Amino acid sequence: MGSIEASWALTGEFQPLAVVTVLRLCSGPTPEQLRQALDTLQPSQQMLNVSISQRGGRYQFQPDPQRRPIPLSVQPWSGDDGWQAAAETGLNTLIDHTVAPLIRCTYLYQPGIDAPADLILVQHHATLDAASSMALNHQLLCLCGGLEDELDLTPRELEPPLDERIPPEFSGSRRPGRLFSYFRRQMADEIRYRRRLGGRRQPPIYPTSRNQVFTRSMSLEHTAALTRGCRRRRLTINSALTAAMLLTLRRHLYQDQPLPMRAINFADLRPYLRPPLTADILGCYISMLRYTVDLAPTTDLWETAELVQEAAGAAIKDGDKFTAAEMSQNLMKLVTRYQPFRLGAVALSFPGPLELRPSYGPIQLRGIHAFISNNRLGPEYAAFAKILFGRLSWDFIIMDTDMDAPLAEIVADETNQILERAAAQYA
Amino acid sequence: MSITLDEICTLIGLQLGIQEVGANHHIQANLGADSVDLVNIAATAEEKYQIEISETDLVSIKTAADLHQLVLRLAGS
Repeated sequence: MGSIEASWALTGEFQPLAVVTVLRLCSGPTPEQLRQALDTLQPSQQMLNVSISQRGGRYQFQPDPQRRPIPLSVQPWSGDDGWQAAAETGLNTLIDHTVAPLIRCTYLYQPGIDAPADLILVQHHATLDAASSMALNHQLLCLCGGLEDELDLTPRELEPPLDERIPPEFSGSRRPGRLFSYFRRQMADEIRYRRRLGGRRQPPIYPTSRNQVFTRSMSLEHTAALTRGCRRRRLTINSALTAAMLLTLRRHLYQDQPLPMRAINFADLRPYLRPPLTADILGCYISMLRYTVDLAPTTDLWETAELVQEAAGAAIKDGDKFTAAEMSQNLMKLVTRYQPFRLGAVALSFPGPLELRPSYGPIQLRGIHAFISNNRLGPEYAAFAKILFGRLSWDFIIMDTDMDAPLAEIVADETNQILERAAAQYA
Repeated sequence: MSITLDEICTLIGLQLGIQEVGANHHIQANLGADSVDLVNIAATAEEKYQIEISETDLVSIKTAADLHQLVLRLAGS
C-alpha cells in the first residue's frame, strides 16, 4: 500500500472516508443486469476484492480468499433528489476496512424505457481516487450496456504502490535532500501563515459534524467562455475554480477580511510515475497539495486565480508533489492523533473533462456526481468539479456544523456566479 | 497555412525549456510538463495559429504528434 493510501486507511479509522459517485441514468439496467455486471467486473480488479489489515504497524491490502460479492441494495426510485440521502449516508458512514470488499452499491431503480434511475457507488478512499473512480464507472456502464467487448477483463493483480514508482531523480540517494528542502519550505509557509493570520478567526473543530451535499452546474456557453478566459490569461481552470471558492468563503465566513487562506488541491501523479499508470489501474495515485494564498481586500477572481496558480505551482515543482504524497501519512497521523487542526479553508478536486459517454448501449448517462467525505479536520468548503459533455458542474460538500443549509446554498450559488461573471468577459 | 511537426516540437520545447522534443515524447511522462505547462503550450498554439483548443481536446494531447494533428484539424490545413 502506498503512503497516500495508508494515510486514508489511517484517517478512515477515525472518521468516515468514502468516495461516493452517483450515476444519473435513463433506461438503466435491470437489477439482474447490474448484479451480473458487478460480478463480472469484480474478478478483473483485485482492488474490488480486498480489505485492509495491519502488519508491523503498516497498513496493507489483503485479498479476500472468500471473494465476497459487492453488496448491492436495490430500492425504488422515488424522485429526482432521492440520490442525495443515499449519497450523504455513504459519506457519513464509517467503513469497516477489515471486511472485503471495500465497495458497496445502492441502485435506485424503476423499470421502463426512458425511466430515470440512479446508481450510487460507495468506496473506501484508500482503494481509489477520483480518476480511478471514473474509470471504474466507465467499465461498469460498459458491462451494464452490453459493451463488454470493449473492455480488457483479464484479472489484474494489485500494482506496486506509488512509493515504488517515484522517478529516480526524486528518490534513492536524493530523497534526504528532497525531504529537508520540503520541510524547510513547509515550516517557512507555516510561520508566515500564522504571522499573517495574527489573532483572527480560525475555524473551530466540531466532533459531531456531518457531510451535506449541494450541486450546481454552468451552462455550455459559460463553460466555453470560462475556458477561453483561463486560456487567454494562461490560467488553469483549477486555479479559477479554487479562487472562486476562496473568495466566496472569505466573504461569508470571514467578513471579507484580508487573510492568508489555505487551499488544498490534488495532483494526479499517474503520468509522472515510472512506469506511468493509466486510471483503469485502481488505486490512489494522487498527492494532496496544501498551499497558502494571501487575499488582499480587493482581490478579484482573476487576480486570486493568479495567486492560486503561483502558490499551487510552487507546491508541485521540484518533486514536492511526490514528497507531499510520501509525507501524507505523517500529516494525517499528526492531525488525527496528536494535534487536531484544520487542514485548510477550501479543497477542490478537479480532474478536468471526464471520459464518459452520453450512452452505453441502451443506457443513457444523464449526469454524474462525485463526493469525497470531508471530516471535522477538513476544510470548511470542499468540492469535486468536472466537465461532462462540455458543461462544468460542481459537487459541493460542507459540514453541517460549519454552515447551515441555507447559507451553503447561498455560498454555492455565489461561487458559480463569480465564475459566470468573470467568464462573461470572454463570451 | 503549412504547419510542420518540427514547428510544434519547437513550440513545446520553448515552453518547457527543453531543446530536444521528439514527436512521440509524452509531454507529461517524458518531458515533465505539469498542468500549467500544458495550458501555456495550448495558449501559445492558439495565439500562433489562431485556433481555439477546448478543454476536452487539451487533455487528449499526450505528444507533440497529437498536438500537431489537433492544430492541423482546427486550423483546417
